[in-house]
Parts: sequence; C-alpha cells; structure tokens
Amino acid sequence: MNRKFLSSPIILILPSILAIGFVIIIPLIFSFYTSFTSYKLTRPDSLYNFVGLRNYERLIDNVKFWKAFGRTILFLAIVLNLELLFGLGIALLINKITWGQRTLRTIMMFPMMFSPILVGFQWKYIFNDNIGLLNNFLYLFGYESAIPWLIGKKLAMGSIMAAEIWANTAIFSILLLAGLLGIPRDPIEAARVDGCNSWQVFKNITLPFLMPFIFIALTIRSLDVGRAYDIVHIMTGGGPAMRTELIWTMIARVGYKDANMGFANAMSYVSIILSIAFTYYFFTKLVAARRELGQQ
Amino acid sequence: MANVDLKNLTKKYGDVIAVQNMDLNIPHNEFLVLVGPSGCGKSTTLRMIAGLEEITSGEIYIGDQLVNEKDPKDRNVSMVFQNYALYPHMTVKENLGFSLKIAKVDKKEIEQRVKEAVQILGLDELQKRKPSQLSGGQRQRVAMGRAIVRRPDAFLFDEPLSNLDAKLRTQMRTEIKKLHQKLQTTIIYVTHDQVEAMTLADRIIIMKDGYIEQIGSPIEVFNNPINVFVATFIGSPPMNILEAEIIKRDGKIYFELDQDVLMPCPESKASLLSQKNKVIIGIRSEDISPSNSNTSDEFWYFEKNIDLAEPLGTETQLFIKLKNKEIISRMYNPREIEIGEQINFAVNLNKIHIFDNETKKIIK
Repeated sequence: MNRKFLSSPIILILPSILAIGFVIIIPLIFSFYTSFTSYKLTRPDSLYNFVGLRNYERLIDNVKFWKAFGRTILFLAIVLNLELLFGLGIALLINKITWGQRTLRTIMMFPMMFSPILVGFQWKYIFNDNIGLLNNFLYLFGYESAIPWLIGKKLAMGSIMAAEIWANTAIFSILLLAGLLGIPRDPIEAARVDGCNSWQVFKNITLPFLMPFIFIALTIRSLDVGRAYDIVHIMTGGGPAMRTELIWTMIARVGYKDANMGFANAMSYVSIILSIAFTYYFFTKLVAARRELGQQ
Repeated sequence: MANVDLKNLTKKYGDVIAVQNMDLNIPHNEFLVLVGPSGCGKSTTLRMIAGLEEITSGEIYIGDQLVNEKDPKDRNVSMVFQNYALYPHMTVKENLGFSLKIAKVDKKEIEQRVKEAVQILGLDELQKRKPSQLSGGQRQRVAMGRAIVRRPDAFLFDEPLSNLDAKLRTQMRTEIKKLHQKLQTTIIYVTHDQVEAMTLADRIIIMKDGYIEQIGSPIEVFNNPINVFVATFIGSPPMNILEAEIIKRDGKIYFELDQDVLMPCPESKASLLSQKNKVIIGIRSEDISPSNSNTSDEFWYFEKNIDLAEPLGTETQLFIKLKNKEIISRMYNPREIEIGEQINFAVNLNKIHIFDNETKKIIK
C-alpha cells in the first residue's frame, strides 16, 4: 500500500472530504453535466444524450426566462428595500423601549416561526377576491367591488411582496437591533452635545455604525429572497398569465412539470450568477462599511 | 463665555439619590474640579449640566439662562468624554469640524477654526487619519480639539485622563492647564484623582454620596479639611487618622495615641475639648518627621521602631504602628534605614487636625 497517500493528515480529513464529495461536489458536477444533455425525468436514457451548449443557446433566446429573471431582480429590490426600511423602523422603536423589550422581541419574531407554505396559504385566503378577509374588510367601508388581489395584472406581485415582507421583516429587525445594542453610547452623547438633533444623530452616527449590520442582513436576505418559490407557488402559482413567475418557480415548472431537467439545470446555473452577484455586491459594501468604522 | 449656576440641584434614580440639593456658583473663567470616589455623583452632576441626564429637581443656569428644559445641542457647552467618544468613521479633521458643520457654519470659517485647534493641540500631521489609527494621547487631543472649535460657554471634562498611562496623564494635565489659560473659559472638570484635582483646579469641590463635602481652593482644602473624609481624600499619602482618648493630667489635656504614648493638646485647642472624652486626630505624614533634637515647644517627640521604609529618592516614607494602625512619616533627608531601627519622631503640634469622633467634623 502507498504509505504516502494514506498518511495520517489525509486519513483525518478523509471523512469530511467524502461527505462534501457526496453531498455537494458530485451532485454539482452531475447537475452541471445534465445541463449539457437533453435529460428528461420521464426518459432516464436521455441522460446520455449529450447536446453541448444547446440548452444554453435556447435560454439566451427565451424571452419568458429573461422576464422571470428581471422580475426576480425587481422582486428582490423592492422586498429587500422595504424589509430593510420596516426592519430598521421596528428595531429603532424597540431599542427605545426600556420595559418589556424581551417580550416584544419574541412577539416580533412570531411570523418567522411559521412555515412559509402556511404563510402563503394564510395570505392567499386574506387576499382572496371573493371570501378573503381584506376584501370583506374593505366592503365594510363601502368598497362594493371586489379587488382582485391575486389575479389582478398589477396587484398579484404586490400581494406576494406583502406576504413576503410580513413573514421576514423580523430578520432585519433582529439583526439591526443587535447592531443598535452594540453601538457605544459615548459618540452618540458627544454628537448630542455637539449640536445634533435626533435626526442628525441618526444620520451621522447611528447609521454609519449600523451599516455593517445592514449589509450582513442584506446579504443573508438576498440569498433567501432570491430563491423564493414556496410563497409564490402557493399564492399564485406564477399567475396570472405568468405575471408573478420568478426564476425558481419557472425552473421548477420546466424541470418537474415539463420534466425537462436538462434545460431546467441550465437555467439554474444562469440564475446562480444572480445570487453570486448580489452576495458579492453586498459583501464588498460590508467590508467597506467596516473599514469606514476603523474595524478590520 | 459664561458663568454656570446650579440651584438646589437633585437627581434621583428611583429611590437612589445620586445628587442631593446641590448649590453652586461657578464664575466665568473658573477652573472648577469635582472630585470624589466613584458613585459620589460628580459625573451625574456634569451630565446634568450637559443635558445628557434629566434633572429630578432644581435649576441649572448657563450664562444667566435657565437651561433645564433645553436639549444638549442648545446649551452651547462642549464635553470631553473619558473614552474620547470620537466618531470612528470620520477623519481627525472631520471630527474637529463636525459640530460646526451641523451648526451650518460657513466653510471658510470651519477651515479657519479647525486650523486654529490643530495648531493649539499639535495635530497637524494627523488630520487625515481616522481615530483607530491614533494613540490614546492623540485621541484625547482630538477630543479636546473638538471641544475647542465650538468656542463654547463652558467646557465639561468627564475624567478625560483616566484612560492614559501615568506619564501621558501628567503631560496632558499640563496641556489642559495651559489650554485654560489660553482660552479663558469656564471649565468644569470631573475626576476621581485628587492629584489631578489639586494641580488643575482654581476651586475644588469634594463630593461624597451625592453631597458636597467641601468647596475651596486646593491649598484651602488641603490645609483645612472640614472633616475626616476630606482629610483622607486630599493629599498623598492620605492623612494619618488615629482615634485617641482624652486624658487630663495636671490641668493639661493629652491625647492617648497608644498605650503610654501621650501627645499634649496644643493650648489653642484645649478649651474646645473640655466636654470630650474621645477625638479623632489627623496628622499629615510631612508633619511627623524624624528629628535629632527634642527641645522645641512647638513639637512633640516620641520614639518608635520602624516597620517598613519606602525610599522614593527625594524622601523616604517610614511606616510605624500606633494602636495597631499604620502611620506614615516622611523623612526628607533620606539615609539608609534598617527595619526595626528606633527613631525619634517630631510631630508639629500646630499642624495637627482634631475631629469630633462622632460627627467626624473638624473641631475648631
């Protein structure tokens, strides 16, 4: 036996190499390979039907895909910004409270404790144009005509965003609250003596201190929101007329419904670029914000 | 440029009293030092003047204006914090100019004033650095510069030197004193270090448990402490304190400092003690010193064995025991001392302090 190959350092890291290999690397290589085949789930032998770059060429011309791609970016941009805004607001308010802060923090996290599928169902029934809570509530105030929250051309996307924001704003609040609690008191007091009003203190002192936390939250959430599937699938199924189709609902449709796995995998690899781009962008921002504060 | 007046100022945290009925007039251009052990209310007082702490009752005037309800930003005072409190994301220059920028001062004017402060404090080469790239002393200087550029009515210093090492602290102390002479502004300075208080102050306020114990010039509080607390707090090493029984013999009054060690009462004080059986005697270490003669009437002499000697160069501190209490004496012409050596000590009777053993106040 080759002594060199089975030296003790190699033996020691072998379990983790094997685990990573089976769990990540092999599936990754396999799926990457299938994106170059015409693999259909219903015809296993098509796995060996190598088609080169054809899936990717089809993708470039596929208007529906690029629309979903653009819609995902829009969805990310709006949801992240609003969650950041609401999360920051909640964190600032809770930070002001001296009594009952812990209880409030727990209550605030309730939405995160529910399964996203169930959140989707619940919002589906709130937004239902016929029997939904919202329309019935509006009816009390004299809105006679039912508003088509989930099937209206422009409304459906907004409804999904509302549900998504409701479910996950707490993540921003918690991370930003942690940031707020970590801000030293002295610079804030110095700024107040230096002549700042509350808004100026926030803008000039609190916010720069909070920036690293904001970018950490944005990084985590951009990955999370970027792979949104469950809530969309439950609430609209991508409709009406594919107006709420995001990348991953489209990939799931192509991969499992049309059984066109090779093509779906090609889409996945293109869309991963999006996640990497967002992560990279926020991470460089994070590093810059920390350097600004003199932290390394 | 203004005076600062406190009237009946009180601060309570729930049932805990931090500052109790404080009355104080600080005239323009005074360097006032608040000193006391931690928890005595000195920082709270300063923070109330700055507006960072709400007042429970009483009034604060800055330049004859009642500022009770005013925000810190409207009080026109500058504060230097113990931890410097610099803005970490701004350069030195931006830190210095920040308050002026907020006040929307003309850019040229900002430039001019920052330049002045930079020159006064020798920060020229550091202007583009961030606080994390500065040493402790440099940060402290920037913090002071930030206070200077505003040209405030009063400077508030909250233990500004306690994070610096001993050498730097001495150096910065001198700089603060010079700064005061240059700027001619009211300064209120909080410290727990009595040496800082003595060296800097025009007037010292010694506080304890929210009350003012004594107000006076450094020399005054050192020479005439009003009670045992002040006597032991001001001066280093602290004043020697001894409980003594009063013994009357042949129509004269003596203090029994130890078994068979009787110190005569100075005649000027004798009449005050006719009703007392016990008193507390305070003697500063420089008023007990080794002596070769034993003839003068102003002195009282006794012999004692040395427990410990600490040579400091200019002087040696000798430790002896009276009634099991450690007493420190100063020897000004040091020679080699052997432990256990018997030495003749002279106590300057005109300089002893006699305190009431119950109220702990001076008897005079």
